[in-house]
Amino acid sequence: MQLLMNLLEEGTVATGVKKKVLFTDSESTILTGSESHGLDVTRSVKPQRRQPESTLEMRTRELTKKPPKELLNRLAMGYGMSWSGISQSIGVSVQAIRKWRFDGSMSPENKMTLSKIVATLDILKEQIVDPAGWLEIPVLEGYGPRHLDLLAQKYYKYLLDLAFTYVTPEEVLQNLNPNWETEMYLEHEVFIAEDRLPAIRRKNPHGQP
Amino acid sequence: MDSLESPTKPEDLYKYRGRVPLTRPMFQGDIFEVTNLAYLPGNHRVAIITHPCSMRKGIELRDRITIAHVSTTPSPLPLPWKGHYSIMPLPGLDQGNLFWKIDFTEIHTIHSNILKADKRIACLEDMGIILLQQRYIFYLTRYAVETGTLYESSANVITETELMEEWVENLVDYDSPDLMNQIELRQEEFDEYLKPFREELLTKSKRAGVRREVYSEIQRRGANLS
Repeated sequence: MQLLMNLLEEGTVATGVKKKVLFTDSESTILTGSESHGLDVTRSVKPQRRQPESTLEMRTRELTKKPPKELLNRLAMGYGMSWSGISQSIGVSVQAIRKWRFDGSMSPENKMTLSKIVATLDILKEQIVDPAGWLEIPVLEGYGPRHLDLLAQKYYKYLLDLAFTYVTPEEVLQNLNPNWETEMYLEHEVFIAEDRLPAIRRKNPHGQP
Repeated sequence: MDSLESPTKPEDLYKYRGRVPLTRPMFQGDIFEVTNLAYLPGNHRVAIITHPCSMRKGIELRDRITIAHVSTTPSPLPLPWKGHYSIMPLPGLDQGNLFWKIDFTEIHTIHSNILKADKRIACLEDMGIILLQQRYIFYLTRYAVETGTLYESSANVITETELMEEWVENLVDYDSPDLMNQIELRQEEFDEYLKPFREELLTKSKRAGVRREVYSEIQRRGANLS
């Protein structure tokens, strides 16, 4: 853990933002080895700022040459995204996705968006072992938006900046909604009930015991 | 939260409308045409209301399933939905000029064998299922739970059902003279295969990994078939 914290301290970057917590999940409070929810803690956070956005544009252009079916399969079968998550990310219905899977034809605009999503996951993969798993967890535990919601809102830069630890989750939420602490706070939490199935209960307000 | 949530556009509610593949397992929010219910003669539309965690015993539907009647309303409820907590609006359910709704004031328990896969006319998309849950909970209790939390509490069964559909769709022999039996066999295979992964579906960050495992197994079994 201390090594990890050292790495996080090293991650203080050109923005001058000091990293506190990258992301947490209800099953673990802070990144630790196998509980890291996809973040590859074996790689140090790079002190030199890279430009993932320009890489994103370049890779997106390359991917637009691939057939839609191949790109969709890469997201679902290669990365493990749900069809629902893919449809949300592109901004179309699941029925449209299903048609593309069997038909293959799609508008240039949707093709561009699909290519950008694949390119985003490809770049995330450089920092995160399981990008699709990471997409399903909240930007900040206890608050509504998941990384997947950022993808659906086409906030690719926020996603990459989060993955490369150029910004904190709190900063991203602040940019999304200045009142995020109250308006994005989830009042309930899921827990495993005595029958071993998920259930819902009201949280203690803001973590108070 | 101050109000219940709404879809951005009507089509976001549905996974399928009109023709529903037989390979899609039955799930909460599925809408059926039924005939001559024990308590009500004639043709009707009903929606499954039973929570997905409690509607099955293994792969089989339980004998008794809770449904709500699906009926028409004189005018559509505009988006975003305000009030009307005793219904779940179903805008654009079919091509006609009728406005359909799930009516929480008409809840019944029926034998599951009344619900025929080939009489299913729509399935709700994940968001549609969660909005249905949110409205039904509010109708019963006047208590609002945010959709993000509701989704997380059902995400394991939603994921399992999506993967079961993929499994069956890719591995079933469509030329079989007894297609429904074939589908049941593939569902049983999937149910057995998924056992070691079911616990992982409870953890949001692990679901993508389970999907990859399942797709990989589908490819392996598919290659053996061909």
